[in-house]
Amino acid sequence: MDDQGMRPDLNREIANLARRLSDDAMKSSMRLLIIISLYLNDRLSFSDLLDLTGLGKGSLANHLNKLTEKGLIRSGFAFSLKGPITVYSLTEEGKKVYTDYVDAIIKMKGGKN
Amino acid sequence: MNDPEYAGKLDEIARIAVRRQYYILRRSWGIYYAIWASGFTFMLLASMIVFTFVSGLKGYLILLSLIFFIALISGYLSRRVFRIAVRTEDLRRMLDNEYLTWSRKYTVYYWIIFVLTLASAALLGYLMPRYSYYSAVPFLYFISYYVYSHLRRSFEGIPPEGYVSVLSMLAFAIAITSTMFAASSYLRGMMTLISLTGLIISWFWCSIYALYHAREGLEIG
Repeated sequence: MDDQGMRPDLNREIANLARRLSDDAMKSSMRLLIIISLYLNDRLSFSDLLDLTGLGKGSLANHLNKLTEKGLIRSGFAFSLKGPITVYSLTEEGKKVYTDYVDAIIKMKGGKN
Repeated sequence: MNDPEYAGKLDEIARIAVRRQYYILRRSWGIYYAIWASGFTFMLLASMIVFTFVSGLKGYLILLSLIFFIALISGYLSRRVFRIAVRTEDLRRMLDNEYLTWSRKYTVYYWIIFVLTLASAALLGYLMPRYSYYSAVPFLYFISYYVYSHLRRSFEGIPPEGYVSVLSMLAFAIAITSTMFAASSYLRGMMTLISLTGLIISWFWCSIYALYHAREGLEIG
């Protein structure tokens, strides 16, 4: 797909989303992957996120800190068979990022969805 | 990065997220099978305990209340798997640009089958007033369809334990249907006991198999 092949409103939409996602908290693809995974699953533990992203512990903690500081995710505790675990979920602002993201995909696909 | 390139990147990230959902979904289905297999076990034990101490209509009422309570708890504990399945499927269909067509088709099929189930339940209740509990039989077929449809929503290719779970639920539904034609209540009881035990064993196996193989999903990409 080239620049000329895209509709102007779609170009604008994607540019807006790119700007929104290109701030310090969201410029990493991995952080977007975390946002999508948290939306699809409601909440995920730290070890689930390690499995889903394939990152190391330090790197994942760093991504999660940035998302928390930006107010896109929050952490809490849940009980599992292994005892209490830390779980992460999206805040309303985080859900908004996901919704904007899906809207951009829909428009990108031609708005037939 | 220019916009079309960025658009391609957005699409790719979502596809990776959907592919990786296989692990979470298979594990969630494993937990789902375990919850319901335990629920069926409690139902079986409840029927044995209740009829040891209470007989007749009172016994049936207590048992029905217990079954309803166990089903309610199991449904509550396992509801998350369906929510994850629906969200994953929605995103997958959006990426493939076929969300609306698919969503309409699914809704139409769902309501047709649900209405047919209600009609069959009403008909059975009318034809066999003395055995009104047989009105629940069409819902066993409906559950088979419901599980199958959500497995389809969860996975692009249903894993082996998914087929086993649906087929064993169908086999249970057929076995219970056939008890309508059984000559004695003893035979009916035995057929129900054997088929429910088979269902429990099968769903426990599905649970263990799904949990054991869930991590294969992480190797997909």
